[in-house]
Amino acid sequence: MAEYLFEQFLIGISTGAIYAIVAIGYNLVFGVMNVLNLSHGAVMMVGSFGVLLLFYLGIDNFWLAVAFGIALALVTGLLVERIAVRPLKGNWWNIKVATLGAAMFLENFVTRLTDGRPMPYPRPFKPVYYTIVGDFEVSNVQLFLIACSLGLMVAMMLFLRHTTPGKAIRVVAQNPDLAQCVGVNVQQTMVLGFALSAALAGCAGILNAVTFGSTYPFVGQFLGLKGLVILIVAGIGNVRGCLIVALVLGVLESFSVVAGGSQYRDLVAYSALVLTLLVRPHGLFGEEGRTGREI
Amino acid sequence: MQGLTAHFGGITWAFVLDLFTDYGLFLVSALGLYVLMSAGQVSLGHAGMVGIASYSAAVLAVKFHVPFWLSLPLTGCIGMVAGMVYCYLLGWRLSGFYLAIGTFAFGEMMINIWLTSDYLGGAIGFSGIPLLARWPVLLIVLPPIFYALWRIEHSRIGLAFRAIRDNETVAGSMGINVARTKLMAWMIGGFITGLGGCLHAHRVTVITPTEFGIYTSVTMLLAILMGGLRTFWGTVLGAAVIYFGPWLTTTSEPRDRLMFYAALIVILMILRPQGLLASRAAR
Repeated sequence: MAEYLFEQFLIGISTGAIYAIVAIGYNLVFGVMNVLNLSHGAVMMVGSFGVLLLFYLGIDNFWLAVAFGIALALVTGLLVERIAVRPLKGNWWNIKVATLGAAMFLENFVTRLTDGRPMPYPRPFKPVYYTIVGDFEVSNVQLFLIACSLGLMVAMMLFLRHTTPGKAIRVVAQNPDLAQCVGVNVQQTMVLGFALSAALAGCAGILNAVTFGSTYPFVGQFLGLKGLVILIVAGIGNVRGCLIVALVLGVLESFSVVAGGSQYRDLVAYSALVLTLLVRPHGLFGEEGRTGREI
Repeated sequence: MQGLTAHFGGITWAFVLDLFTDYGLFLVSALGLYVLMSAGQVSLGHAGMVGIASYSAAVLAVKFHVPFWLSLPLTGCIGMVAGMVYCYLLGWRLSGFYLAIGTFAFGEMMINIWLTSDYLGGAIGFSGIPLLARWPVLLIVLPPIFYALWRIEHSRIGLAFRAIRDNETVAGSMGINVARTKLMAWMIGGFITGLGGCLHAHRVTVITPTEFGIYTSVTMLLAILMGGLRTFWGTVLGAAVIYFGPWLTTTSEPRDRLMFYAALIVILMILRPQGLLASRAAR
């Protein structure tokens, strides 16, 4: 039993870390542009299929394929920004609808290309199981996934805190007009934020596909919604809160599988969300003043 | 020309009638959401509410053998109560996007409850509901709804809804009881949604939990945003675009349909940001 619990705990941590990356992608775009990008999930899916595309073309190198997948996600994200976000000039409701339309387009486009079947996913290396103590086992793929996602999160936080473009993103998030006054190129920073968010989406998509060993065109809907849930529970605009909530949710979900079976997984997640909103309408770490009307 | 004949040639009268009936059923639920949206209560989990009504109608029909014309108003009342619950739990506490996500989570929660409930058929769905909602039923149900919405729109309540949507604080300071008006919007919207859910259950005869998910909710939301929030005729038009648009863009490959249709949504949002039937100032 104990080793089963431990295994579930590890699964919870690794899914939680992927959720966190998704939620932070939303947060970045919301921060710099004050809009919600609902095509985030679809961009994730594009990233995961980019890897498969390179394999399909005959290049049999996992790491090259990963780089290509992330690049494809980035380009897709920038295209979405150019076509479905910028022409709408900050009208938040319409941007939500237009990015949703973009997501539907991408999902159905990929369905058309791949016949909509779940595709088996390559593994980075052969799984090797290490024994820690007694019966507690952990595979190197699992360790690699957890290290990747947590490393990505830490890198993101350091980037936002200590580099000039990262600081620019935070300044624009706080006040675009004042940022312009002190010489920050607001337009460029917005595009940078969107590009970063898309690249993170690509990473999340690939990590998720490696975790489950397969990917399909509508994988982004499920992941994207979980990311939104975390964004709301943590409170919008809070990166560290996102990480904590995502990890807790991941572990909570996998333990609810232990307790009741897999049909209780989503029930727990969404009930937790409703309860949080009832007790704290601004999210756990959110600011009092934000009512969510502006998104 | 030959392509057109190939495209429309296989369409029979019965098929068109079926399509219009489905559109009418969709419209009833969408009008329920329109009432909520006209009072600024954005719901991303509206299909969950439709599901509550559908399951109630199914239980009434199959387990208790309630006749259709009695179960229709009864389900409407159940929808109204569901609307009150939504309002107490979510509508009064949350606004804007938080409300949208709250309603979405509530809907997903309901889906998971239905999935785990053996009494309601679980994941296989609830079957055995009699097929009763044919097109004549719609001719009886839709006109009163249109009339009621038209009256509401031109009354004090309709203006109060609009005032709350534009600015809650100002509406409150002008003497509108914000909490009560919101409750009223949820109750009226819930009643119409309840009718829609009952008709849906008696149309598809087998209801499964997953059909009341986010996808259906978003489709309804799109119908309303397409039409704009100035008048409920916008929703009638928007629902038509949402419902018939895919059929008109059909090519030989059915999957292309959704692709064209998604592109159409993006283009419409760029060209008509305020919705099809609304003045520029209305949004």
